Amino acid sequence: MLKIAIYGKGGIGKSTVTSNLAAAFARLGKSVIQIGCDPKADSTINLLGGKPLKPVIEILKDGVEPASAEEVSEEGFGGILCIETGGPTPGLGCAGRGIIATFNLLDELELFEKRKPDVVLYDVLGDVVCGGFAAPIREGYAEKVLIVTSGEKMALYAANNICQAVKNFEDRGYAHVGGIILNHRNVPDETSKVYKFAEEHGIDVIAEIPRSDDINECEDLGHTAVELRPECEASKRFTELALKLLGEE
Amino acid sequence: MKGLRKVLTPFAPDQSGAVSVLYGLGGMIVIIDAGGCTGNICGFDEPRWHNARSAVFSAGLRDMDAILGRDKLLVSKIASACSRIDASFVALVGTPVPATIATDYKALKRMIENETSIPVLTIATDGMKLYDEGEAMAYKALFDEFAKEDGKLEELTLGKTPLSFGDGHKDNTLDDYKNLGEGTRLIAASSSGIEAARLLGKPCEIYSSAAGEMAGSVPSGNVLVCHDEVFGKTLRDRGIACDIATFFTLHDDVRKEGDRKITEEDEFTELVRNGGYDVIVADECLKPLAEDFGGTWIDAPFFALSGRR
Repeated sequence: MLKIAIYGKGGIGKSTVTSNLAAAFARLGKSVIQIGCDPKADSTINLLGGKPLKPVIEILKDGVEPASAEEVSEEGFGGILCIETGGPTPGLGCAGRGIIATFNLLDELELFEKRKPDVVLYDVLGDVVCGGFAAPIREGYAEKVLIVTSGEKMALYAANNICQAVKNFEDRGYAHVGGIILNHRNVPDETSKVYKFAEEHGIDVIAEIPRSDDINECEDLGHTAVELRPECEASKRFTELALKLLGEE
Repeated sequence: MKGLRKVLTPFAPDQSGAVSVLYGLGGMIVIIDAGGCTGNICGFDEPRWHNARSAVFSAGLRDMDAILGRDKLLVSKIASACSRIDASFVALVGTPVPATIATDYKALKRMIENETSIPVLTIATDGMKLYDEGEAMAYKALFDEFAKEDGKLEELTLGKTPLSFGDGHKDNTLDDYKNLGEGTRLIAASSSGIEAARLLGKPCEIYSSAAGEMAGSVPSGNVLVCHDEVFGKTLRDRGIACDIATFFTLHDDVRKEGDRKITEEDEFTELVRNGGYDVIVADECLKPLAEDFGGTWIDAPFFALSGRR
């Protein structure tokens, strides 16, 4: 089972990258689960035809005790099982604890044992702000962290923080950084900046996603580019990345 | 009113159950709390504390430990204690504090084992479940850490802890768990034994010696047993037709028509009022909840309900 957590600065395109990557795995015939770990709960929307998914915390807060994973998930494009942790009303409660509560529930429901997915993707909030947001890279969850960044200064700053956090967790048996996905914003010297950052941190840039109208237009329709325009350049890059990750397994 | 207790005190929580199983095995038990949970366990839920001390410590968490997630400080405190105490293992027992801040037990286990080379058990109790569930979690942790496929132990009784049996408890030894094997016959003496066997995917015999001894003194009639589920099942297996009510877990292996899990005091009152029972077998602490009852009450002390040993 390939278990990957996608981290990166807020707004950098993590959900777009994660959903397209999930769709690429699905097109390759793999059984995929995508778990959105952001209180905004919009990670999987473009795998579900633009329809928002009711987050797990929304279900739990009503006192419901789900008896099966089907009650907290929906199948999207290519049979991808979509789950959103969700979280509290902004400004209240503890979002990180919400992620842990969701993971505990998925453990209790034996999601992985019963579903036996080939690939699990965790789409995580921008920064590792507390223990809850590191939960996807704890032992037993993701084994590999992929960092999405552009050449923008603050995106690289966030990427550096994520690298540092993962390094701090070395003695805990957590996931390791498996590469950088360069999501182009077409800022000046973008490619050289990101490759320099990668070299300084001893990490490979494992994919470059071009700035793409195909992605934006497909998302406007509530879908991923990989689903609607599998032949476009961006979709090809996602498929190449999926194949590379499967090859590394 | 839901949750209102007028007669009964709060029951022992899951962390007390976990300690009940681990106590006296020669390990160092660390309750991951600020101090209050450890005080409750040692002061109220663990009768052995007063005459057979065991190494039970509080992590002594403070506000900044929770805010900053200072796991390394906890690891160094435990390592320091291990250098002064000859512990066969370290057991980390959870409470509401680590449950709320989502402490990563697997990471703590790895860090402490690296530091001390002593096996670490982690029991993610959260103080929101009852003692029987905590006991089962502790058994599972012991099995996972120590049991071997080729262990030669013939028989092991699970769930005969002070919380279920008071002074009639029977302590296992760490060697019992180390000698557990595929062929070991498991006997569930209380609910936690059934749950532990279920977690292990192993069959178990269900039998309570306390109930077995009492069976001859229960008069015939319409009988209600309000105790641990195994206590009730053992009476039933000895030919006493009865309904079982329990404040703790009621497994499908035991449940028959008329049996029920109860949560509220009022549920017990209603059950007695409407059940038409001639005989009640239960701890006397429940009597104030059945003032209308005119039948025979057989006292069956239950430490987890009343603190009576």
